[in-house]
Amino acid sequence: MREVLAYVMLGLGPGAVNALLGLGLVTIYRGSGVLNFGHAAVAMYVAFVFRSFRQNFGWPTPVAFFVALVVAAALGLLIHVAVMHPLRHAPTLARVTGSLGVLLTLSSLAYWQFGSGTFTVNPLTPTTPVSVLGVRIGWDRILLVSVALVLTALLWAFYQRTLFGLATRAAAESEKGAAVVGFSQARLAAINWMIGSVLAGVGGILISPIARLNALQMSLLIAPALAAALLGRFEHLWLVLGGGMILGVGESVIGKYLNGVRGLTATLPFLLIVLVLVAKGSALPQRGELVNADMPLAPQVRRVGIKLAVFGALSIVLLYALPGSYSAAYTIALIGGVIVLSLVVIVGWVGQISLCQVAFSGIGAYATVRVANHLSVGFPWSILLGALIAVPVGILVGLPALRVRGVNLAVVTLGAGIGFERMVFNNPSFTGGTNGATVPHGARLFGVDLDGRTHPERYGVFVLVVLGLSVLLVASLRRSVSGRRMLAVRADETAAAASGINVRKVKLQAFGLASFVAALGGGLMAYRAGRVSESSFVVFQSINFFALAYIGGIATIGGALAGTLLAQGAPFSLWLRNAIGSDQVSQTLSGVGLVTTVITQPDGVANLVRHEREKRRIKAARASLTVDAATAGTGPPPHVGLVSGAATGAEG
Amino acid sequence: MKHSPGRAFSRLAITVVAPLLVLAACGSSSSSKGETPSSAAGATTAGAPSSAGASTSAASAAGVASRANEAGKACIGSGDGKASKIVIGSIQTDKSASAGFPEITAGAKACFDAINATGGINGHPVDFKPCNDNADAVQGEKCARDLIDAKAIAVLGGICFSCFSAPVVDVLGKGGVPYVGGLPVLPPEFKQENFLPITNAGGSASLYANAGYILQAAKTKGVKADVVEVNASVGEINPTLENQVKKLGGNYAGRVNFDPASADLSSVAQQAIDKKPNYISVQTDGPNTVKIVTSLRSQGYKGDIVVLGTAADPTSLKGMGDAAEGLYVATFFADMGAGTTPDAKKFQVDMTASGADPLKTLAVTGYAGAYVTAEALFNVKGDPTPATFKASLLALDGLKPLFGGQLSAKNANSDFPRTFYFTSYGNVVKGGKLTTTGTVFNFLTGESVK
Repeated sequence: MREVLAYVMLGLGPGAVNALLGLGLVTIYRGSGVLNFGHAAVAMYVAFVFRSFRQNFGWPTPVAFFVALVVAAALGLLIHVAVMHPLRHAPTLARVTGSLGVLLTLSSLAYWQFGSGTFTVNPLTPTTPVSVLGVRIGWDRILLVSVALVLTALLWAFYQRTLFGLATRAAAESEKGAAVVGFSQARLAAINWMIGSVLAGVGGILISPIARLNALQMSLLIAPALAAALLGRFEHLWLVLGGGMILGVGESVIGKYLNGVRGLTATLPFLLIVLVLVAKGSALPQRGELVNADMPLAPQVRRVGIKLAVFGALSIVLLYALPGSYSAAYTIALIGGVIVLSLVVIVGWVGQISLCQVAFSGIGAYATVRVANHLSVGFPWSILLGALIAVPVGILVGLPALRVRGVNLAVVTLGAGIGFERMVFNNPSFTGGTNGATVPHGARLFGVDLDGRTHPERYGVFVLVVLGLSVLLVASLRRSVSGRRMLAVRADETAAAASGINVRKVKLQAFGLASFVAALGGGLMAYRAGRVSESSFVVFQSINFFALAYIGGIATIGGALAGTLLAQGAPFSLWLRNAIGSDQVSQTLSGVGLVTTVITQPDGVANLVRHEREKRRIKAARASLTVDAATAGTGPPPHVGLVSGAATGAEG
Repeated sequence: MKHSPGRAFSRLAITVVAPLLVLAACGSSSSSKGETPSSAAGATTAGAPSSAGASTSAASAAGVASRANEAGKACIGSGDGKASKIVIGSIQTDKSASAGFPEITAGAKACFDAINATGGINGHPVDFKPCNDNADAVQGEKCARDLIDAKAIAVLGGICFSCFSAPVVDVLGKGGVPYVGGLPVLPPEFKQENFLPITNAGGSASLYANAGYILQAAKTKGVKADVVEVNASVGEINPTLENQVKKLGGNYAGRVNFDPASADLSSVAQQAIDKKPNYISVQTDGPNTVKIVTSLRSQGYKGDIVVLGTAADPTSLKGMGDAAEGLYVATFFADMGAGTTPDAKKFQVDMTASGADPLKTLAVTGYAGAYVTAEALFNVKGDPTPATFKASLLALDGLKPLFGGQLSAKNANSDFPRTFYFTSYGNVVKGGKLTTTGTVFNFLTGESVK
């Protein structure tokens, strides 16, 4: 019993940090209606700033701490003013995307500014032990728990006993109501963003001496923070504190008794998230918002055959004409195109925010290798079979979507992505560890050697064919009854159900199909390099692909495909690396581009192009009608508006 | 309250945040001095072979034979630098999503820059081509193929995640290019024909060394060694410490594995304490070593702790605070950063001239790898080829490193047939600094190397 107590006590420290980050998430959500996926990235960034002031400038710890928190508050304000305030009337998808942009931007900024390594932060407290209930623990644990308790109490009192707190709670219930009685939602949101970011900063600074201060890994602390916030229903601060503690203690105890199960502690938050969300249906309290906006346009797909022929011809020329490295990079972009098609289906057409599509690519890649090696299934059937194996996995991940939607589902899939990364892809018994997994040689089709290493151009053409077939599959889906059902579900699940559509079936079909397409991309990756390694399927890759698809136009096939040209390893990033010696630029561009796109062109760049084309067409039509009318001596021309269907996405 | 987006807030944000962030950024660049971010699980040691006064030697007079005899002219060239280029590649994890060690590549580049500035290798300028493996086996393999295409004479390793795996070495082997240095993790990797791990003793060698050191220390104290290892779970489980402790007659009390990406490692430390050891061997990178050592001490562990050299750079030692006191460290390049010896000063001069940070102790790994490679190339008659280079490298003998160990193929044994530059011991942390105490010994032979 005493042994268990020791692990419980040790888990309270990280549990307190989970709670602090969770409290910040709740504060921001209650104050502005935004679930900030970049919250842990704020914590990470502030921790780096603190460390820089304290260890590099030699500032006294209290001064560095205070100034870092000022930076945190200002950072929160900046994010609100520059990103989230302009998105206040945008749909959930746009807001989630905006916060993902913040995550990508801050992570890559820290990577650049402070370095790619993992850094040590000197202890904030003496390392001498203290005995509590007969268990020896460090002073830092006592500090963490104390800070979490005090801040929770202060926050609770602040939101219960002050006019500002009352206004925030009122706005969280109904923005309209709060506005009617004279509270400025913008002001409330701004101040709550500052408070939430300061809480993130406190958590980041306090955890930095005992955690790894690394730009990417620390940003993933968002998972336990989300789990803690969900346990508190994004509302009850003391429950958030309790939820964070439960997670910390759970990880500590599980680490002791299930030490042999890889990645289990890291997956615990995901399991808890799924449990809570599925049990409750919708853990995030809904806000009465001032405006409800539409999802991105999902225009009808027209003349796909011609477009594919032109694209295919151009691609073949590029594959053979470009220098070797750029030709290989173009093949990577084509494979990325297959993966983003899965996002078009699941996010663009069904409105299910999935942040783990690259995990399905990983399942497909490893399944391809396994069936090729162990079942002796030849190329390209191994890729097809690998993709089919990923389908039940996709449906399994999609099951929570039957109970939750929107931002809740984004939380589930983010957790799933982290879970896959830690439990499956980091497990050498599944993946071959640092050796990776090797596909057998013999990528031949109709007697032609298509080995990606010896004949990269030929393999590029093969990828192009698969991409073309995938586009035809997805385009035909858009035109089919199933596609229209998906769009109906996206528009309004209740209305769709009332129309006789089996919403559950549609969602699961979409998850199954999307995972199949993403897994095809994984199989193609395996044969391109002849080897699969786990680092290709980390959760950040899913977020990157999501960003790229959104920038191009996540509900349009052409737009999403265009976005992949910016992917890491694709020609543009290769050119950047050669030009300025850094490939990190492409991720920064993804983050900044994502934020800019979501604010200025929430339907994606492709729809901007489409709008401009429509405008020109209408202008030309009006001019023509004016001339006709003048010639015929009749009345004014009839009104010519944006044509329904194609541009308005009436079916979507 | 007004219905306003708050322009005042915008102005406030810009006014407050911008200067602070610029300040923090300035701090980060100046701060990189003296810091070693992290090292891979299993990363260990390096040393620059030396002799006092190397930097004063006349580079132009250094011929093939004389260089072999005057072993220890750290990174000094000879010739007129007008002959054809010698391509030397490197495959390193300069940066990746999880960790990056650009200082190793910077160290190798500093050495080659210094050689080129003094006439190259027998008149051949060195064309150094580093390739970042991005901690990805696929990318590492691509690096290997690209370097074969570039007709590299040799490829240097250091901390290279993809080089843990066979593919990189296999591909280089098939292309006939020797792989020098690197970070072998598992014993079989040391036996790969094309693997020449000379610049450090990697994961397995460190575990082997830790076992040897612990058992010798326990013998000196007259106690029985109860050994627990704390090991980051990267790839397969490495049994070297367990095997060696048992072989040497100690009690192997168990292993605690952990996810290196875990936020908190106090429960990992507790699991080690629960096994009641009097020696704990910690095998992970710098930041995680700090976390484990401080947790072990703050949770009451009073026994001895042995850690890797790259995990005990000045920043890490400072991070450990009082917990570092008495720590045993399996390395010998800590003084390089301080520039307290002639070769260390030469290292710092070369690093500065190359535009790299001279206080990055991990850079010594790359510097030493480049140095030894250059020494072997100096001994090749005529234009070097991968085959003549490899033969020359294996024939190197008698280069004495600064802080113990012996660069000699004669040090090899059946477990490490091609590793001939071994970790030595005798380092302990006192007063927050790493100091060499007592006799430094070669962990394989047990002989004094001083």
